[in-house]
Amino acid sequence: MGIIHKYKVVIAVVLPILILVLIRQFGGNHFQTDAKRWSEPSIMRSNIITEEKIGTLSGEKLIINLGEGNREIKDMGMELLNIPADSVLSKNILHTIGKHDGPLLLYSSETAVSARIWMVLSQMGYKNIFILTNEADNEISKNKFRPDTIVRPEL
Amino acid sequence: MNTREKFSVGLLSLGFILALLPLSANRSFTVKPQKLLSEVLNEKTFFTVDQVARFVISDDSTVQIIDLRSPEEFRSVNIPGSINVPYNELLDNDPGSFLNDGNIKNIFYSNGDFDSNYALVTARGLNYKNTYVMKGGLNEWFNTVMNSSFSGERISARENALFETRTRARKLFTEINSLPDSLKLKFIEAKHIAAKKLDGDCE
Amino acid sequence: MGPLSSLITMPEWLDLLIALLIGIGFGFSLEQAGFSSSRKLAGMFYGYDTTVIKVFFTAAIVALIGSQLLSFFGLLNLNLVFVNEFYVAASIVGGVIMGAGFIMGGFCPGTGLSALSIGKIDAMVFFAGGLTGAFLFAETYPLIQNLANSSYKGPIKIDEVMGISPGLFIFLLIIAAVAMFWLAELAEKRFARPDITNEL
Repeated sequence: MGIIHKYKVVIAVVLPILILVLIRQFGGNHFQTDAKRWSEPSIMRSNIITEEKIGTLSGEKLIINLGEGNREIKDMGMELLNIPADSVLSKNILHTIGKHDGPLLLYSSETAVSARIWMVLSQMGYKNIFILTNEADNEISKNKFRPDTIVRPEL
Repeated sequence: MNTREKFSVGLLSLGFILALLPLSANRSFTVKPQKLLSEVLNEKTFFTVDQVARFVISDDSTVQIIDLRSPEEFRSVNIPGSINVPYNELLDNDPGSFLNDGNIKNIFYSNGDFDSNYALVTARGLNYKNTYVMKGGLNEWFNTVMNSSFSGERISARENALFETRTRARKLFTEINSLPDSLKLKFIEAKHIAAKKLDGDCE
Repeated sequence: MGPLSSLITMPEWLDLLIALLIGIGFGFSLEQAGFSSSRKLAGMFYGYDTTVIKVFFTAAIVALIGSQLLSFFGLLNLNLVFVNEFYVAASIVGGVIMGAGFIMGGFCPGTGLSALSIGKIDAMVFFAGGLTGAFLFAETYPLIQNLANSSYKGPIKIDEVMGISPGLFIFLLIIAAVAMFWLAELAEKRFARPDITNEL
């Protein structure tokens, strides 16, 4: 008791800061520090998964269908949530995502939307999120350019 | 003695808390999550390949096109006038060095739709609002600008305009990308100088 | 998210007014800590009065802790805060010259100004010397510019170079500071000069 009384000023300064820090750290709904670290899976391309390869992921999978999607994914036999893309950060959705133990698969008929949502969620600190897509070769060049060696550009 | 003790204990406790936090010297997103989400879901963050083609043929100086692919892919073929910032190096140096000018529209593209959209969210997250994506990437550019053709007997005015833009863009793309590397850059610089002279040499 | 200048475009007069208020605050705290006395400042080198190191180290650490906490809570964007650029050779040479001037004159630029503002004559002479130095620097710049601009490292931070988290760096710095405070106390006992300290 004597020690607490002796250090009461110190405690009065450090304790509120500690509480605020803990609230902030475990509170969710803010971006993490070090953006590069949280974009690693996109650089390594380890965050993209196709239908065939779903089996390689362990754990119970949850598919999030962003907006209007393909009917086919409903029959995959996994838990499915239909969420419009702009409500993905609402409290109960984030709670569901946070509570879910296994891999999370984002699906959208537009690759751009699932890529963007992936980045937002990853930067918030959520791990184990994948983009489910039919086009695994989306980022590969599909065209061979044949240079025309005769042409001369005009100035 | 007493004050010094308390002071030291206070400072050490704060230092200890800070040592345990995931602080980083690296860049982090500064925009709030909900705000960033609405920004990146906005259709206005996209440009179609036709719109980009128009920027390219008119040599629009308020537009900067950024190629996110590897240096080898960039060297072999790229959209004329674009600069190369490989996606995996985007956050290595200060992105502000090429995204800072508020008067310039920066348009990201990659082969497809992944890297360009990752880069867009990253740039917007770092509060660079003048960043956009070319929808479909270079693959779409080839489909639409390079390989498309019109069929049928009649052509509407709008289709005609598109056809003209695409043809000119196709021509410019082929000419520039057929040049050997050393000449590519010089040609684009020369074009800038020629355009300036037409303007009366104003900066 | 701060800094303030990134949130509001401030008219120049507001910028200067804020600078004036901060300057007044700084001068006030220097004066009330007794730093207008050259004997107190010189005491740092002779060991009989170690207030300087305590005050300045404390100020630096409070600023460090404060800015990192603000950055953690998303209230300050540290990438927009100015970081001094590091020229290795120039820093060393300049530091030696400044240190020699400090011990000889018993003032550093900031404390010299606060002493000047209360009318001390030694501060006026010190200031004249400082201005002479600045004049000489400008006049001889073509001769020294190679030295002045050599070994440029850019606006680097120690924690980046060491590859550790900023929080860990601050903790290590605080440990060093606390050790320094206790050593300073010992030094004051060892090198005591009651004839001077009693008048301060």
